[in-house]
Amino acid sequence: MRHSFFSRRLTIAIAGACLSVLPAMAGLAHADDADLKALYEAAKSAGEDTVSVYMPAAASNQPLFDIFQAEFPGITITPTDIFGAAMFARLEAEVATGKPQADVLSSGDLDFPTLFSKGYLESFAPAGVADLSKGYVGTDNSWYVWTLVPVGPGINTDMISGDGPTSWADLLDPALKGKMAMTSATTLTTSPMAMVQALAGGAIDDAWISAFAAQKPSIGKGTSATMLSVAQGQFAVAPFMALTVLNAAKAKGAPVKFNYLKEGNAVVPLSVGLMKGAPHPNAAKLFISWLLSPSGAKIAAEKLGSVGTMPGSPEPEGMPANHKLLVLTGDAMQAALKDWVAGQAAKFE
Amino acid sequence: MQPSSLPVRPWTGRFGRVAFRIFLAALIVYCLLWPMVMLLRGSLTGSPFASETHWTLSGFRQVLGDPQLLSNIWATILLSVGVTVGSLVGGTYFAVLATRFQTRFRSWITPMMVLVAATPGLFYAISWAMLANPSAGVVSKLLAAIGIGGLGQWFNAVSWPGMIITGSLKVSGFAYLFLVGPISAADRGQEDAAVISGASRLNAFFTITLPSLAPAYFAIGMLLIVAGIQSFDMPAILGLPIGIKTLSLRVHDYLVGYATPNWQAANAVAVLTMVFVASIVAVQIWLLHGKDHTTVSGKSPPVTPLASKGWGWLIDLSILAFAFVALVAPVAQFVIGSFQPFFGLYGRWTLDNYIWILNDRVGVGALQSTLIIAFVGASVTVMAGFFMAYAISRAPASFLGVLSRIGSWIPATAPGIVLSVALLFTYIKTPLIRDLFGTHWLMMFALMVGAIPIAVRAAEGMIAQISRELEEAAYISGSYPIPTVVGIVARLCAPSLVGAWLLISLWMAGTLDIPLLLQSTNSQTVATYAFSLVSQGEYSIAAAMLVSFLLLLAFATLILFGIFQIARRLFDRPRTAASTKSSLARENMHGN
Repeated sequence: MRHSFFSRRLTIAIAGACLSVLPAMAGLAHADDADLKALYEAAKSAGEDTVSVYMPAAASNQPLFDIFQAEFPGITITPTDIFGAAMFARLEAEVATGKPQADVLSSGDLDFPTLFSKGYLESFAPAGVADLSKGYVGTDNSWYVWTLVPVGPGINTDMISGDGPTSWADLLDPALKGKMAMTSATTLTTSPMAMVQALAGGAIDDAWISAFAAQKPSIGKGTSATMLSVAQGQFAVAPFMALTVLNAAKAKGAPVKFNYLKEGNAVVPLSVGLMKGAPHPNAAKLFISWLLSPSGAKIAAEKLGSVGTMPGSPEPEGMPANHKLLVLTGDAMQAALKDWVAGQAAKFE
Repeated sequence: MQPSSLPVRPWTGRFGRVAFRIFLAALIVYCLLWPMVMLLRGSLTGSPFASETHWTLSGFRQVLGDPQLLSNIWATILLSVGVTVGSLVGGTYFAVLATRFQTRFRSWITPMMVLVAATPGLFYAISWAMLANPSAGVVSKLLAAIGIGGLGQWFNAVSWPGMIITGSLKVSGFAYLFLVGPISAADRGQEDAAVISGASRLNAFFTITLPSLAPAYFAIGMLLIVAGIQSFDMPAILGLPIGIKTLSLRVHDYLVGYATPNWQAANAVAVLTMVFVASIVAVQIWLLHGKDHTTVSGKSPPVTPLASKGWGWLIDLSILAFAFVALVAPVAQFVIGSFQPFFGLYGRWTLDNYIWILNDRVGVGALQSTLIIAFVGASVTVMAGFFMAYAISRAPASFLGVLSRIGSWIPATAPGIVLSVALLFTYIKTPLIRDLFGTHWLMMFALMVGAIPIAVRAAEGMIAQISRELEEAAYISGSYPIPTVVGIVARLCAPSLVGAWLLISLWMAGTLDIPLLLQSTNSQTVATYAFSLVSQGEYSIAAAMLVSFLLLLAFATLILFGIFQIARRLFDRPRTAASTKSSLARENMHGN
């Protein structure tokens, strides 16, 4: 797997990416069992039996929660499907009333600078996190990009015979005109995030964006709703589908598959942070540390299809060897999306 | 007998009565009127959670300069007018059938319409989103099975026509219940005269009877238009996925549709929507006030239902078709959907969705909270509504009577999401109440405020029919006010109050917009949680959640009914025995 970074933190990120090809160091880089056991004991001693996690597409992460709960009996993950403005409104209310209910915030990397500036995040350094590429570490150790969710064409196998789109160029096939669904390109959703990463990575150019807009993709309410419309056969292809969401639908029997693209796939960088004043801080620290541990990364790859950011994290099944991931995080992503909203987004209106 | 001359308990006295009335007035002002003041304040300040207050008009500037505002207004008008026209047509058709025709299934119409009206809008919208899904719904699958799958593309609830037709089916229940009275009471004299003069019955009905009901239609139409402007759940499920945003959805959109919540703009749209609705209500009052709209006279002969001749089967078929489309099919889709591993995946059936709910802490919590809200909240609301209606009916000119009348209308003029914003501002700024934020008690409190208009209207009509002589007789016999009101008036109103309780329970369980901003991670209602599941594409789990809730509600109601029956028998038995003894004694005395 190759992480292709295009941020101001390029040099550091490349160094981090280099680390990822040194699997021999993997065991040293992560939190070990003793660290996790100590946190587990601390949580149990404090009577903390749950971790409230705010995150998008929470239902598709259930396999991850199930395994955590099996590894740490007595601690239950309570996920809430919330992100973006709704999450900010909820947190604002909780903080103002002095009763925070969230323990862990996991969302797109874009939300975290704002969460940090509003003072919602507690600085916390999980064991072994010193080896994480600096491109994945938030200000003052307040958040970490814990996994990269590959984004690519989600295909209804009942409607598309053969492979379907396997390159960015294939998405311009006139046969797909009017048969694709995606999230809004004019607000900060997975679709524009995927396209700005592909632009920065050189997989596509301005002419591609114009030609793709002319394919008239339908706009779904969100990633989950878009997945549903493809799984049900309303549309044949979701060009910017998060692999975790697709895998959740596939596990329930939906006739869908995911394609890796020749030029590389964009990703959704998911960050995680500890809520300041969290009601279950020890259990929350345990969960965050576990996400960044070899166990967490392995489960995320196996069950969700996402790629851990810690060095030596395994790749999901089906991902081609040395596959290129087009990654933008932090300031670089914010700047690229700002440019997108001011320019390319108009092509989709 | 006027309230001032009512007997009082010695321990209360004049001071006690005055203090009690002031307390009630303060309660009405805080619960029903103050939130609107807070909403106006919020539109000029911003977030309810901000520690400092900055006065600004920027919210109004943003909204009035928003290019989407006009399309939001048009979407709101088109939806409310479309649904109103559709439901008035449906309501009229069935009201005419119920009052004018003698057919086999005529007696089904009213219960069927009550059920349609009582079904929460959110349940209805989710069910139709599943049922009329062009690729996964039962309709499209059945059409595909008989080789005309192409037609399935036309059955799409998530579209403008789909939203208006679905809304019309649902609101037809209300339209029927409002119209059946005026249509059955309309003077048939002129219509009969026209028939005798050679006009057909149909022609006479459309050219004479129906125009004479114009004021009733106007009043009901305005009421339905206001309800359409306020609706949130139907457009949220059936309109939002295709970019249709009404004014109510725009309020929500400003709060969750951008990178961070825009409270100033959301509050400004809420205030403008409120002014829009209030203007329509004011126009309605102005147009109808002080005019003579008599349509019922004492000269009309008793109405005899027309015996349907050869075409009676056609009428029966239309009744059965409506029952199937408006009730049976949505329920069947819900049940079928709840057993699918993935909505639209036919041929594989599973109990996983129900198991998922039972293992889900938030889901189980939502079921528990909603049951508590449905039973406790609805009961308290019905009681509060009864006492407010009593004040309105028996002392209309008193301070409490006037306040109760105004207070009972205010929540009815505010769309649910607007009320939600207003109540959030009120509660967050009130010490002690603020501490309830994040609990289901605060959501229950908000839903009670929203349901007050239903409770008052339900009790008002019944109280008006109860003669004051009964209360006066009790007072003369030495009874005190509260035992008299509860023991006589409330007891006589009991059937209506039980009906109102059931309606309000279902309404509270299915209302999405009012608790939307007061929900928290640990306190959800079935409606807010089902909406969250639908937003994640988990229709099958949402269907299982709603089916589970309806079964639980039915089960709990049956248990309560059983307890009530047992209690009644236990308490009535000695009294009956005692009264039998005393009657025997009286008889013996007279006999002696």
